[in-house]
Amino acid sequence: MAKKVNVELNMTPFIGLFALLVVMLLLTAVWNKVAMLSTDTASTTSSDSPPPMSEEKKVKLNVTILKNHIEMAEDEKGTNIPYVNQEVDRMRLATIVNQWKRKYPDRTDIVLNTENNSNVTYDKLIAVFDTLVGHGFPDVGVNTQ
Amino acid sequence: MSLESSSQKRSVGIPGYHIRPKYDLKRFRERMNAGGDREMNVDLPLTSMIDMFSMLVIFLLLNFSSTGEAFFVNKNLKIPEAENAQPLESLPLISITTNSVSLDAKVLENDGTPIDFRDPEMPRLVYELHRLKKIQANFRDAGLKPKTQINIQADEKTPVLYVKRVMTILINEGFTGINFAVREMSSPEGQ
Repeated sequence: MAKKVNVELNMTPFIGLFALLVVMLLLTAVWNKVAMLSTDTASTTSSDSPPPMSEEKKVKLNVTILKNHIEMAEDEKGTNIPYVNQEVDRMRLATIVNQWKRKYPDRTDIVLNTENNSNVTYDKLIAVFDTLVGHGFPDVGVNTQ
Repeated sequence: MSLESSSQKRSVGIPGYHIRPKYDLKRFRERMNAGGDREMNVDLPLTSMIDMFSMLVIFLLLNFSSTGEAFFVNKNLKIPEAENAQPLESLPLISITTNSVSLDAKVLENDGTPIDFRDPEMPRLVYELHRLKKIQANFRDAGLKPKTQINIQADEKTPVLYVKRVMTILINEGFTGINFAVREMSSPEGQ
């Protein structure tokens, strides 16, 4: 006759372990995830020095945040993107940035200018910066002039 | 004779239930007196408790940070969100609100009044940056490699003009690597 085995698992150490885990994880939890967008201002501030002669003439890709719209300029050719409810139209911005990326696949740099107006706020700068970085232009230089 | 017998009867009687009705758990007493047919040694159901702990542990593991780096977010500012940001590095931090500038959580003041954004030179900030540079030079002399970048956090409604003024001072003082602190936003594609 087979021996009946009816063993209950001792749960006390499990509960102790879980309680310790919960306390440890609560202490190390990050509720506000903060990250960063980097800009190397050396590249934009050193524009006074002339480029080397051998360097092929590059098309200047400029994005300017203005009071009422964003101006995207490819040398002299520009496109305006008006704000939607006083916020950056990320979709339209991304469409044009994608077009630029298809046209200039090797380019990763872009210059971001802002109008010196109190209506141009920091969240707009970050929204445009973020869109540029997310669509293949990680080397965004912020013009501080 | 009859008196004697009645007193004897009372002296050998079993004491009855004597708890006053106010504190009498009548139902409980009845169950206790019902006999040995019911098990009163009830086990605590641990399954649900372990389920709850497991879910808590999984949730907290998702919020776990192994870097151990703390980042001071000024209570007066709400930093904007970004999808394509990189992990934050531990660097000197400049906080810009609409009416003050802080360096590493210390509000920069000129004789008790916060520094003025209309002043493009901001001598107090320049002084503090010089001090920071000196500390970095000491580290370099000691054979260490201090990072020369700096983090900036600003309220989302701060005019960019103010941020640019601070950036210009930073560039003039040799801090060319500037990082904007943002709140990490999960991308809509879930990537």
